[in-house]
Amino acid sequence: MPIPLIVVAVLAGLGLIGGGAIYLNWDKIVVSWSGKKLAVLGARATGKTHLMQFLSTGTIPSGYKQTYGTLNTDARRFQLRELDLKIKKTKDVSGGYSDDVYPEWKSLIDDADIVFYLFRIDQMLASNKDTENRVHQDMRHIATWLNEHPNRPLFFLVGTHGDLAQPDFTKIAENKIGDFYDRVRNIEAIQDAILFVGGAKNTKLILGSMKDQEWTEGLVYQVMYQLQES
Amino acid sequence: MNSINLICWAQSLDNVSADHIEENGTMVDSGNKSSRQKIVSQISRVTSKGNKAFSDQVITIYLLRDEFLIDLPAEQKDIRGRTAPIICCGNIPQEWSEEWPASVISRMEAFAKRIDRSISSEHTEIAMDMLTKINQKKNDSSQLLPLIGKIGIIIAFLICLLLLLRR
Repeated sequence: MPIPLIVVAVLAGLGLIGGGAIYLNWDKIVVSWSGKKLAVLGARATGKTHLMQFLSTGTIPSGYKQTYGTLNTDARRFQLRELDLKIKKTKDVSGGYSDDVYPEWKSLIDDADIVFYLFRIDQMLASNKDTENRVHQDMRHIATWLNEHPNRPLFFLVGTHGDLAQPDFTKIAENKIGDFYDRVRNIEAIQDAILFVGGAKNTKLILGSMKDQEWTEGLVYQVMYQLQES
Repeated sequence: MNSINLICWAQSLDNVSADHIEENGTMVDSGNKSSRQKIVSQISRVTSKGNKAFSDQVITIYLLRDEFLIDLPAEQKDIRGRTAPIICCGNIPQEWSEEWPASVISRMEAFAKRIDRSISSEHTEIAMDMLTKINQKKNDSSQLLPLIGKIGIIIAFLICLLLLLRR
């Protein structure tokens, strides 16, 4: 018995739609397959959205808004100076109140190749107890999730707002930047954070500022340089 | 209109204290971890998997199947000078409801007042208009699909009948 025409037409239509969808998404599939997936975490107002926007568009935000929920960012091939890195589609999450957001953070880490945890250098150097407690609590959880991960992601501790920690931060000479790093490394909460994730061999510490486009590029360059070296 | 389930969320303005969460008019205490995590996960799901049905840089509405999420800026900024959105999330009614948009806005305004914030009338008017359009569109598509289905079945029946008669 011949197949009714309506069935043939429906099957052909479905084939066209499915094939078209695969064709239109091919570029994203190719970039995603070869790229790295990032998880950018940190307490509220540490610079996560700023960093995510820079990584996904190359520009910094013109206005600022508290982040809620989980916002998707596109995959991008990232070139900065001589460095070349492909980044998969990823997500910008809320810093939120710690216990509220931990399930979302864990989900992000489970899916990640590289994890950044952002913290405020200025607040840590000022011995802000709320910040120290939050970093301590966050890092305990992050360390557990990293240890449980079947393919442990690379982990970066990224200090932001360096310009607010020290007025002349942007003018610190190259031979003095080590002293600045030592000041931060000597903070108990940072020592604990590094210990939780298994020591200095498992953590890359990057300190900087994202006060403008140039300084954001500088911070990201430091991160990307370390990634290429890994 | 039957009572609708609505969640409201707003981050604390000092960026340290617990975020404000309300479920169906009742504040969810910071100690109620499982309820808060469930609500935060719901907000994440709608924003990450949903489509932006409306966005004008100030107000955003996400849709994910029967769920919606609307973001309206409070008039108060956070301690860093950032815009502090008031979020409302819930289900779009299955049937057209003239009261639904107003009930969502009213819930958001009451929540904002509860946490000592306010939403401008200019923004609530735009939001009301957008929610009305979303509800109307949903109602139209929910009536259209069964009609298309019926027409499709009739056409398929006529084609099969024609083929049989030609034999």
